[in-house]
Amino acid sequence: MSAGLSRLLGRWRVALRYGRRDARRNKGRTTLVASMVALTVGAGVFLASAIYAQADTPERRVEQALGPRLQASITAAAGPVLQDPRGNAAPAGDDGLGTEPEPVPLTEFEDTVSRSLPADDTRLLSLRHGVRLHHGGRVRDIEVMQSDLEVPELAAALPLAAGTLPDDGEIALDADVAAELGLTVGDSVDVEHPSADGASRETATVTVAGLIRDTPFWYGEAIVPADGLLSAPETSVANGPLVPQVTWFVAGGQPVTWHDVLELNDVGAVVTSRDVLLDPPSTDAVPYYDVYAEAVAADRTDLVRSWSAVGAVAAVALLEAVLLIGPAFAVGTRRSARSLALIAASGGSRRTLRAVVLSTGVVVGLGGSLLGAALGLAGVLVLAATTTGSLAGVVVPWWIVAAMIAVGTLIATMAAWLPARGAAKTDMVAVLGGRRTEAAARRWPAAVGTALGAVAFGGALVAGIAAMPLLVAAGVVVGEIGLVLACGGIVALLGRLARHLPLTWRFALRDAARHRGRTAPALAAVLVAVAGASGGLVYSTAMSHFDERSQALTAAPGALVVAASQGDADPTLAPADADRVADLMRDVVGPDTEILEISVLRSGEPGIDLSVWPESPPDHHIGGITHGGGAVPGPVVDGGALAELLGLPDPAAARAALADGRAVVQAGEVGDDGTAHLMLHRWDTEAGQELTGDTLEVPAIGLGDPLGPSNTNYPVLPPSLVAELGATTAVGGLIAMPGEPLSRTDRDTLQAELDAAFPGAEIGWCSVCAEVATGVEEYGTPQWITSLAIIVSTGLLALAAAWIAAALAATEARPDLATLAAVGAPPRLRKRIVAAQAGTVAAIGSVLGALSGIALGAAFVLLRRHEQGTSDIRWTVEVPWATLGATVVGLVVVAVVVAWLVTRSREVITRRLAT
Amino acid sequence: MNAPAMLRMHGVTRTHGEGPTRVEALCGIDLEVRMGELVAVMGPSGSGKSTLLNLAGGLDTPSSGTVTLGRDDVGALDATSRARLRRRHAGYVFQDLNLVPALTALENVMLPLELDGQPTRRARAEGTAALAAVELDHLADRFPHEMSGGQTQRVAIARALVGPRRLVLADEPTGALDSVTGDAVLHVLRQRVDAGAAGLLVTHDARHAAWADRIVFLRDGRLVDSTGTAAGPDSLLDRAVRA
Repeated sequence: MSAGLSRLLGRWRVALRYGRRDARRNKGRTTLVASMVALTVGAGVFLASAIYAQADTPERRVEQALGPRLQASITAAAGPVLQDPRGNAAPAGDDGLGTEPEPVPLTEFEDTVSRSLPADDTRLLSLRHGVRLHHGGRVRDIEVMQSDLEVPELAAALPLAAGTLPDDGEIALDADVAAELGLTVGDSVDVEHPSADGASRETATVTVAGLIRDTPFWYGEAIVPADGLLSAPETSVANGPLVPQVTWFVAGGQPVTWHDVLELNDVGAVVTSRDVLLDPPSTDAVPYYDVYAEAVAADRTDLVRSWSAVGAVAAVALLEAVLLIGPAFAVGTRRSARSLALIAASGGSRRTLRAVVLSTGVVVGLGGSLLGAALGLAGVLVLAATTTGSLAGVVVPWWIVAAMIAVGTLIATMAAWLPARGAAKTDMVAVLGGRRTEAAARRWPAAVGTALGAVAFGGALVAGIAAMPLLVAAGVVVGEIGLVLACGGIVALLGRLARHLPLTWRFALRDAARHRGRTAPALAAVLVAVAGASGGLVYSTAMSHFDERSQALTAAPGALVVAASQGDADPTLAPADADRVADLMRDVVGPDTEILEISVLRSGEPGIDLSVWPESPPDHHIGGITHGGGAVPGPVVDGGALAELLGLPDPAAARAALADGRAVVQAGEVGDDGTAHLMLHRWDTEAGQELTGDTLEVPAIGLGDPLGPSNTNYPVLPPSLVAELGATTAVGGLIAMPGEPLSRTDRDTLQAELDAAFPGAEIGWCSVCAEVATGVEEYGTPQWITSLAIIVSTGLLALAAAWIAAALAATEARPDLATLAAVGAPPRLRKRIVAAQAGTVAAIGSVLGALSGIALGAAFVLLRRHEQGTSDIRWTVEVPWATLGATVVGLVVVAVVVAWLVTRSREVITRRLAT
Repeated sequence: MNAPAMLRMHGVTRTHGEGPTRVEALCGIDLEVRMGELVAVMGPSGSGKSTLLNLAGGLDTPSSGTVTLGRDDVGALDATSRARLRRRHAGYVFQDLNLVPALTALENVMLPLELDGQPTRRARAEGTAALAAVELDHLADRFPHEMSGGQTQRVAIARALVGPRRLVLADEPTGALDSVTGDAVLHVLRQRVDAGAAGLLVTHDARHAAWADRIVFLRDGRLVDSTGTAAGPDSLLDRAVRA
C-alpha cells in the first residue's frame, strides 16, 4: 500500500471515528440534522415507491392488459391501421385518414384474423358495451365485458377482491363501482342493456357474484359470462348505437409476434401482444412511427416538459434540504474549533480537518437516511394495506431506496462541505490562543452569485418564451444557486446599514453579517423556500385565470336549457316536439316560469347546413351557448328577448343591439366602423363538404372580455340578418329560468322523461338533452386552498430555517450576551435579540425570495403560454401582490413572535473564551 | 551537552498586521533545544512565549529568520508538509482542553500515527506504549471528561511523544492544575526528556521552570536573558521579574 493511500485511509479512519463520536456527543444537533435528512429521504422513498407502483413498465402493462397468461387481445378497427408496440393505433394511409371501411361479416373477419395468428393458439370472443345499472334509486352508466370466463387464461387476468367470477344470471363488478352504488356480493342489481337485435333496450336483474380489484381498462367495469346480456353483432365493426364492440383474446403457448401484429393491422385489427410488449421491435420496424412522427415527437416533448419540471422541483428541494442543514454544521464546526485545532496541532493537515467535518455529515447523513428509508417503507406498507388500485400492489423498488439513501447521505455531506472548507482555513493559532476569529469577507461569491442569478433567471424567462422546458428548469435551478451564493454578500451589505437600527436589530444584523458562514445558508434556505412559494403563487394564479378564461357559459347560471343532441342529423326540434319538451320542462320548473324557444339559423334547403363564425375565431373558449355539453345546435338568432337568459354580458346593451339589427359578438371583434366580420359557411351535410364560404360585414356590438370567460365567443345574430341572408330559423332548444334552483335530481328526472319521449340514443347518451347552466367553475382544487397549501408548506420550511439560524446564533452569541449583561443589559434583552435574529433572517430571505420567485413563476407561465408554438393569450403573468405581501409580513411576524416566546430571559454567565 | 539539536531558531522574527496595527511578536530570536534537554521559556504576558512555541512546532511560520526542526526548515515548508512535521517530530501540550473530547485517551495518543497512515494495530501498540510511559495505559479507553486534569495532561504528553516524535512543546501545561498535580505532570515531562526527548516549556511559574535544564527569558519579543536552573526557583523568579 502506498504511503499516500495509507495517509488517506488513516485520515478517513480518524475522521469517521471522530464523526461517529461527535454525532453521539452532540445529540441535539445530530437529531436536528438526522430528522431533516430522514424526512427528505422518507418522503423520497414513499413518493418514489408510489410513483413506481403506477409507472407504465412493460411488465405492468402486460399484467394489466393480459393478466399472467393471455398471449394477446385483438380489437376490430374500421379498416387497415398502423399501431405502435403498445397498441396506440391510427388509420393507415399516407394522409393518416385511412379509408371508409366496408362492414365485414363477423365470421369472415374472424377467419381472416385466425390466419394471422399462430396455429396452436385459440381465440376467445368477447363483447363490450355500455349498460346502465339501477340500484336503490341510483343510476350508473358503465361498460360491461362479456366472455367465456371458463377459460383459465382469461379468468386469471381478472383478480377478484371478493366472491367469484359470475355464472349465468350473475355479474362481477369493479369494486369501486359496487361501493359507489352500495352493492356487495349477493345483492341484486338491474342492468339496462341492448336487446338481442340491437334495436332497443332491455332490463335484466342479475346477482353480484364477485368484486374485481383494479379492473383493467380493457375489460370495462363489469364482467358477465359468455351467455350473458350482449349479443354478437353481424359485422366486425359496430355500426349502430346498441351494437357491442368485438375483441378476441388469444390463449395458448405460441406468442403473437410483431410480424403477426403487422399482418393483423393490414386486415383492420389492433393488437396488444404479450411478446411485443415485453420485447418491442426496433423503431425502424414500426411504420406507425414514420407516419405519426409528429405525434410521437409531441409525446416525447410532453415527457421532457413534465420531467423537466419534476427535475427542477427535485433539485430545488435538495438544495433547500442542504441549506436547512448547513447552519447546523456551521455552528457545530465552530463549537468544535478547539478539537479541530488540536487535531491540526497533532499533525492534521487542511485535508484532515476537511475530512473530519465532512465525516460528521457522512455519519449523520447515513444514519438519517437509513431512518428515513425505514419510515418511507413503513409508509409504503401502510399505503399498500389501506388502498385499492395499482397502489395496492406496490412493490418496493430497492434500487430507488438505495439511491435515496445515497442522496440523503450526499445531502448531509454537501451541507457539511462549506463548514468543512471553513474549518480547513481557520487560523488554528488564534483558536488555540483562545481568540475569536473573524472570516475575511470575500466579494467574488456575491458578485458571481448575483450575476449568475440575473443571467439564469433572465435565461429562464427567455427559454419560457422560446418554449424550451429543459432550459427553463436549468435556468431556475442555476438562478437559485446564484442567489444562494450571493446571500453572504447581501448580508454583509445590509450589515453596513445597521447603524440606524435599534440596538437589538443592529446587533442581530451585524451578528448575521459577521457570521456569514452560519447566516448565509439559513438565509438562503428561507430565500429558496419563499421563492418556491412566490413562484408557486404566480403559477397557480395564472393557471386559475387560465381555467377561468377557458370557459364559456352555456347560458345564465341556473337557466334550464333543453336542446336537440348535436349528434343528430338535423339537431332541431319540430314544433310538436318543442311543445312536448316545453310540457316536460314545465313539470320541473313549474307553471309560472316562462319557457322560451331558442331560434337557430337554418338554410331552409334540405341537406344544406349553415354556420357562422367570427373571422378570427377565439379557439380557446370551451363550450358556450352553441358548443359543448347542453349547447344549442347552430348559430343563435334572437331579437333581444333571450339576452338575460343566455347570460350575455351587459344584457341591456345586448338587447338593444339585437333589437336594432346588430349582432352580438365578443369585445375586440368590432371594427371602428361598428361592423364585425363573420364567416358564413354553407355545408352539404350528406357529402360532408363545404359549398361556399363568404365573409359577412355585419353591424355588431362587442361585449365581454376577449380573454374570457365568455359566451359571446360565437355570435348571436339579429332576426333581420336572417332575412338578408335568405335563410330561415328553426327551434334549436328551449330555455327557462326557474324560480328555485334545480337540483341534480330534478335534472335527472327531466332527462329520464326526455329519454322516454325521444328514444334511440345509445346508453349513456341522449337525443334531446337537458342541462342546468352553471357559472364559471373552478377546476380541481380551489385556488385559495392551493395558495394556502403553498404558503403553509414553504412557510414552515422558511420559518424552520429562520429559527434554526436564530437558535444557533443565540448559542454562539453567549459571550457577547454575557458582555451586554455585564454592562447592565436586562435579562429580557436576550429574548429581544434572539427574536430580532430570527426576524432578520426571515425578513431578508422572504423579501429576496418573494422577488426571485416572481421570475421563477413567470418563466413557467411563459413556457405554458408559448409551448404550443403560438402565444396562448389565456396564460398571463399575474403577480398576486396582496397574497405575497401578506406572506412576507406574516412570516416575519411569526418568526419574531415565536422566537420571542420560546426564548428564556435568563442572565448569561459564560467563560469568554473562543471555542 | 553534545546531543544533537532537535530545534534551532536563528534570527527569528514574527510580525502581525501591517501599518499602524503592526505588532512585532518576536524579534531576532536565536535558540537551540537539544535531545535530552528541557528548555523553559519565561516572560510576562505578551512577551511572545506562545508565538515562539507556535513557530517551533510549525503551527506558524516566521516573518524572517529560520526555524529548523530536525533537518527541516519550517519556514520553507507548505502547510501540508508542516502538518507532516508535526505528525512525526513535534507534539504540543497546552494549558488545558488538550484532548479531543470525542476520542478516548488511547485514540488521542494514536492520532498523529493514524493521520500519518500507520496501520491501526501498530498505532494502537505504540499509543499504548506511550500511555504506559506516562503510567496511564490502564485508562486507555477513558474519554477526556472521564479523567482528571492531571491525567489529561499526562495523556497529552504521551501524545506529544508518541512514535517517532521527539520534541514536546508545552505551553503552560500546569496552569490549570493544583500544585501537586502540576508537579506530577512536570515529573512525567522531565522523565520523558531524560529518556531522550527534547522539550520546550513555556511557563511563568519559576517553580515549574526549575524543572528545566535551561531557562530563557523573553520580553517584548526579544530574548533578554538565559540561565541554568542551579540558581533555584527564587533566583529564577527574581530574574524573571527583572526580565
